[in-house]
Amino acid sequence: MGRFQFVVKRLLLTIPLLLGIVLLVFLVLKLTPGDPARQIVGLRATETQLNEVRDQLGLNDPIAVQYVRYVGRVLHGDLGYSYKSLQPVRTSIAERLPVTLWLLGFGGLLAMLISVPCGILSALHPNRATDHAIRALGLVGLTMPSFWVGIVLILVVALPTGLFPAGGFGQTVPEHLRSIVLPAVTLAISVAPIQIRSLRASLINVRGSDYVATGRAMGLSESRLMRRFVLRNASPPTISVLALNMGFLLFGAVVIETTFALPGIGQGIVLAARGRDLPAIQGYTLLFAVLVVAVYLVADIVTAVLDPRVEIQA
Amino acid sequence: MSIADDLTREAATVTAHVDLGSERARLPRRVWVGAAIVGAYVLVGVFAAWLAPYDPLAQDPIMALANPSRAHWLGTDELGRDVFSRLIYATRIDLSVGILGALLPAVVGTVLGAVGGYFGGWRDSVIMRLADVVQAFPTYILIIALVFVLGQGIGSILVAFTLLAWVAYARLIRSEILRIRDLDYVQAARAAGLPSWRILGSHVFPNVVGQTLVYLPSDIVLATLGLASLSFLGLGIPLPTAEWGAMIAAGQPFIREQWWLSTVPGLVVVGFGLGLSLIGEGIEEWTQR
Amino acid sequence: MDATMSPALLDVQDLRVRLKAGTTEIAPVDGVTFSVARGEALGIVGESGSGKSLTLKAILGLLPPGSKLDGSLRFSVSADDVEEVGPDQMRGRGVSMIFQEPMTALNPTMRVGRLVAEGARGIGLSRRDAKRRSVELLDAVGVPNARERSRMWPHELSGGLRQRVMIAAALSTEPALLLCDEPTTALDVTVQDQILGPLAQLRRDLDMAMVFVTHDLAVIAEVCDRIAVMYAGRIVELGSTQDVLAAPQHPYTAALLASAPSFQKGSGRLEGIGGQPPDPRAFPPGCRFAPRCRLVRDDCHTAAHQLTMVGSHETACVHPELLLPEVAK
Repeated sequence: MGRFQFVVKRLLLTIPLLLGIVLLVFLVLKLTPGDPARQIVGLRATETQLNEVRDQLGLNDPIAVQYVRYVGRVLHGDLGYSYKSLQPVRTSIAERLPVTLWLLGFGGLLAMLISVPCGILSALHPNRATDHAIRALGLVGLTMPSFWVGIVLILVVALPTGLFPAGGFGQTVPEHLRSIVLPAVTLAISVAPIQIRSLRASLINVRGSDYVATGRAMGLSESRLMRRFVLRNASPPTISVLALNMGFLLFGAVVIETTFALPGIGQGIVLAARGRDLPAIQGYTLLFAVLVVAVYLVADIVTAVLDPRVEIQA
Repeated sequence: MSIADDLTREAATVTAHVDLGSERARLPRRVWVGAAIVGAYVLVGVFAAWLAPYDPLAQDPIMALANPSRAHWLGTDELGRDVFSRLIYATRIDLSVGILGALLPAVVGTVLGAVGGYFGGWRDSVIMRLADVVQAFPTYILIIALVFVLGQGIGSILVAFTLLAWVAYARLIRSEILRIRDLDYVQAARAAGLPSWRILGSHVFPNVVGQTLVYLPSDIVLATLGLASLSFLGLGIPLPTAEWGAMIAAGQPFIREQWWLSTVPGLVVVGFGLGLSLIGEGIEEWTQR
Repeated sequence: MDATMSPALLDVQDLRVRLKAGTTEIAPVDGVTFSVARGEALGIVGESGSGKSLTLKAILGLLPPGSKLDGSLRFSVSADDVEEVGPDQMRGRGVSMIFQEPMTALNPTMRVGRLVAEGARGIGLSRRDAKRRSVELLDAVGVPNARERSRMWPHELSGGLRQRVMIAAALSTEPALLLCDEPTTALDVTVQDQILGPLAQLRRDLDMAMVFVTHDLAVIAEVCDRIAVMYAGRIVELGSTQDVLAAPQHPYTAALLASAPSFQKGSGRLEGIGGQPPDPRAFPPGCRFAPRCRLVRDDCHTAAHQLTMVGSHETACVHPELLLPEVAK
């Protein structure tokens, strides 16, 4: 079947992409000014001591060798040791990742709960009052910095009511749930406008198409039309757009985690950057890039499942 | 495409060239509203020195965290600096980085895209491969990494933005060139010896300019928000320079009592963003007429 | 006028469609009146831009958003029950439509058998019966291996097959009236016959009326009992196919005949019609064909549009007598 082969081919193509990403991350950070050895040993080290450390870290070897070694280590899941905490980067990633997944999960879900109905409403009566209102709200949502929205929510909801904490993630699951509410709302507010815009565009496009006219001419009810004809066909382009905005979403996570002091990978990368912690930054950047690639892959697969026209381009 | 579209299109082609003159004159009203808003910000930025009552960097620890008063319209921050003055001076930074952060990629992208589209061959392949790789990356994460490498400061932020945002503009002009290249009348013109820059000038440019103008305002918003976010994270403009995002961050610990320290700069950001969005949407409407 | 004893199945009176083109309002369908009797096939012929497709779409309310509809549409649900229905109520209620472009007219995310079954479900069949009916219909329209084909996706089928699927889908609601918007225009001539054949057969079997829009006179001659010639949003000639084609009473009809290869026997030369149809934003006053008409007289530019009986059928031409010497072929 054409679609299955498409998925397999797509998976295979991901490998060179990942290798390229690793290379890019490696190179970019290799160019960082600053001496890792000195960072570890401290300011008062002698040249010999520094050289020893460099040898240990393998920094005196040719670049190509360092790269291959790096790739090897990455494939084994070894992402080096943080300069700050001296903990393996892998460990801190493993600790932080679930928190971010909570945020992305709830935030994403909330965003969809807002954007799908709004997108549909907007597309049903384009350029009427409801549509204008939704688009105006969307515009405001897009121009508000997410960290500011978070702070305002803390000010207006968390502090007065005490229902939700102003920061942190808590220890138990109920505490997690309470802690994730405001961050998830903030994320949803910053992402929903984009989703609404693209859903609206593809819905309007589909509604005007000939096959919808055929369906309508057959006397099918509006709701049946909407489900079987419109939504089904409007989903693939919308999903593609969402995936493309994954980078934006991840950055939103970074900012929101910092605002709400959530111990996720977003906060992780910020702390690493502030602390000039090279291995940590390398590890986190790699992780984020891989996440994005994974999301693109999933989006492509979902699109292939939904759209029977997808075939390998020979 | 429906029959009505075909009909109106047929009708329109007959009179299209005649009407283009008069249609062009009418910019939608929202462009003017947006321009007024943005213009106000620009004026504030340009005349900051005259408008700000205090030096934005002048500290006065005794007066720290004062409430808004006649002396300090928005109170003072944790180091006793006048918030209102800082806000005004911050406008300079945010506006210049925001605008440059959108213009530079536009210029670089247009040049690269034109080179690729016009010359083709290996130049085109290299540029397009580069574009693919850049696009595959989560933009802002790469910005964080780049700022890490290049050090903090306006320069590195602008470099980072440019390295990442050029792609859309490059693709835009490249596809336009490729499209034009194959049209009959262009091939005829080239066969007749018409210089390429003439062709680029009269056919490619007008189309590209229109779309670029539509992209630019939203790119400026993105660049400004990007700067504010980076500064909020502590990775952008180094302290003590006044910047909207940094001010919001600085105010967060004091949100309970001095809530205006964080909320007002945010409102200022939103205002700027709305003004630009109005312009962008207005231009988009106008180009579709 | 073809008087029918029982009320017409569809009666359209003074239909007008108004849309916005840029900033001006145009009326590409401008006062169209006709009726269709039970089981009868009416053809509407004209150049592109004559408004013929929009007329059909107006009947079923498939107009682009922002359009306005004037005039009255009457549809008789049963022999003694005539009601004035709006276009929204026509759909699925005895009126169905097939479109011109088979490539884009079928839902790409629905298997073709499912699409046809949707219509059958709409008139109350159970899921199983609808499925069976869907295969029957696909077979009846001439789709080979109907059962296997019904599980295929639209993009896997050729244009001709897709068109047949569309017909099956339209028929699944058992309409009393089928509107056909240039169904054969996008298809190649050999495939055309494969469509028209089953369509005619089904029409006879189901006693279904048809309004068939096309710019191809040959197809109309083959399929339709009566013909309406449209130009610039109006009907300019109306009558039985035989009468109109043998003795056209409007210069436009005559010109169409003169330019159609299948109607020129032997040594007759093909003559194109000079000029272009008028821009709907600026329709000429009086007879809209006057600027292109070879037989134009002064009063043509001020005449009001009206269909009058001349000989065996109706025409809007002010000077049909000028055609007589031409008609003698």
